[in-house]
Amino acid sequence: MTTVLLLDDAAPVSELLADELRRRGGYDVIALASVEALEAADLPPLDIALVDLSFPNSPKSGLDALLLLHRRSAQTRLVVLTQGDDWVADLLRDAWEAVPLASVASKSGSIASLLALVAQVERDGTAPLDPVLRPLLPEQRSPLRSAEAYGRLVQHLGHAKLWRALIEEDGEPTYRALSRATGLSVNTVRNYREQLLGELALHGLDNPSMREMKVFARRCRPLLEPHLRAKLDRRGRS
Amino acid sequence: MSQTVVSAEHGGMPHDPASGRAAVLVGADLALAVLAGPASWDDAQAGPTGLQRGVATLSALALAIAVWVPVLLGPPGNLGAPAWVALTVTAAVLAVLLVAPTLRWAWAGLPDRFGRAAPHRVAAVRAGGAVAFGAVWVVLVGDYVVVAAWPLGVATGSEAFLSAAAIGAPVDPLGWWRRFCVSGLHLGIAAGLLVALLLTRSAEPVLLYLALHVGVATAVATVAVLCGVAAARTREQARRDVSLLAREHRRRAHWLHDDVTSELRLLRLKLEAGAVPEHLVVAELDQLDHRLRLRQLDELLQSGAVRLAELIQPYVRLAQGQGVEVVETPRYDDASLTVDEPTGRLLQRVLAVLVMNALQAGTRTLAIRAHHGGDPLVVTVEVQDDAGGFPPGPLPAGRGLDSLRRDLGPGRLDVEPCDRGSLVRAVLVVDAAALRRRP
Repeated sequence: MTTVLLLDDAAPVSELLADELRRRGGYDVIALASVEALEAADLPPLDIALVDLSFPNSPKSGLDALLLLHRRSAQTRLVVLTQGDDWVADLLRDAWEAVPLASVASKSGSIASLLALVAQVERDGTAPLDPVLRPLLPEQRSPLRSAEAYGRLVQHLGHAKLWRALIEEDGEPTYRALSRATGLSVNTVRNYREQLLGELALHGLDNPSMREMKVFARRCRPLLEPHLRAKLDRRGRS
Repeated sequence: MSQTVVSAEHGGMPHDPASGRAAVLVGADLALAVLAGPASWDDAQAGPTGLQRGVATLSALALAIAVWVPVLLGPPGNLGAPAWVALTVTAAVLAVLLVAPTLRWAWAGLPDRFGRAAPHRVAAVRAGGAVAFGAVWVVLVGDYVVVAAWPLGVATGSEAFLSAAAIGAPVDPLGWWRRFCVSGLHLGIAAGLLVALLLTRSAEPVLLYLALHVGVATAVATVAVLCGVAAARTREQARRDVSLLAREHRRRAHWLHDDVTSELRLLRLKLEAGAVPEHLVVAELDQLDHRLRLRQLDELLQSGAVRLAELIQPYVRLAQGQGVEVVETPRYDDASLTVDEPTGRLLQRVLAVLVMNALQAGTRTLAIRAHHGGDPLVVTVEVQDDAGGFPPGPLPAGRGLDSLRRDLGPGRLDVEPCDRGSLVRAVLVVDAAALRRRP
């Protein structure tokens, strides 16, 4: 029997969809309500995972879940289930380009359309994008925005310190605040930002302010994290 | 009759000389011009802040006190020449501050062709003022150099604070002090005074060195206090902003919830009364969903920047909710166009009219296309249906398409028959100023 994971924090909707997937689709459905629950769970091999992107009550996002599921098994077909509104449009694009998604489904669609999409993913491995979400996603995935490509944003330890500070800075990310957080001089922080401008342009950031870089860093934290750890841990070991 | 005077030092903002407060403000601005230079009001959209004016006034007062120290501390009844000099300097400063609004002709040479104070001219005025003040101070100060260093330190600290704020330099008074102590300037002065002490065997070099440190310490303390005041004001402003935002958020949330609950209540009552069959309940819920999405979109439009993708979404969802198969939507590159509110509202109207017409005509499939390009930018929106079509040509007067055609202008809205339906094409010419960068 095909095993489907449903990861969504909207419990009533999630339970309803899980029941319908079991009853009308005949799937074995595991419903979880948080990324933390997914991290802690010892799950059987999953065939398909339907993952919501937005978890407002958690520091983690659906991007964390997608990367974790892909790491656990590249065989799991990943489908994003989202409203696709303004709040998650950028995150959806990041996920689309960095993770091999089988499809993207709109939460506002009917149950029948979701069942049809899951059936097609089960049969063909992929399914067309929901028309509501198609305008939000480029037709061609840019190789410059793959998960590995985020490594070019962390070229050395100094960059890693800067990104870590941007992710963790709670207040306004001024040069001065970042200088304090990283232990680097203000001029060095400024130079690191200048060095990253070319790479950031590939991610749609045209000469971004530190505040825009902070938004980007927090959104793409799951993609930056492995590269940050690699640089910062190497420093720790040496 | 009141006469409006435009002060160049105030970024061209008019003042009414009949108002005493305005006169004081212009006077403070002029003092600021002399003390802090043109960078203080480099942003022509905003004049000096209340804090900047206050600091400038503090600085002017401190300078006046520094000049008056020898007079005030000197032997009583024997004021002599120092008092006259100090009196003259103070009177001159007061005259400038008080009658500044009427001295339009005197400052007319200062502004550049953009109406801002020309830096080199103001710098010349400041340099002249500094030389005159320095000369007066050295002549007058005599034995009271240590006492006079206090107000001079206040004036220096005020000037440093204003200049740092004007050019955006980080303010770090203790760091400045540390750097001064290890600077060549300080070490040179100390060495010079030590040599003087050894040669003259008098207390004067020691007093001068003490005065130097009293002045620097006072300047550092002044900057620290002013930083504290500025930070407190910033915190208070931030608290007010947050409070205002929270209140606005609560107001919007209240009305949103109020509307939604009344709609749901109406639906429940209809169900209870057996007034609507099940499929109409679904239709009503879909309508409610659409209305809420339009409200979301309205909020987004009010933010001043909206993407074409976000304008299209509610209408695609509406069509899907009605069982229509949406066979085509714009590509990412086309749908990423971000425009301002008026253009966004016009595009939304185009989509609303074209999609609603197709749905009302009973289409089973819908294609929405959008392209943009050219200079000036031309945005083309197309909606194609299979609802059987209608005769192109004169549109029924007063209907949505007719009024849209009038609003878009001649030749900007076409209807053409196509396979089993109609293709309606709307063309908008978008001014470059209407394009927005996504926030």
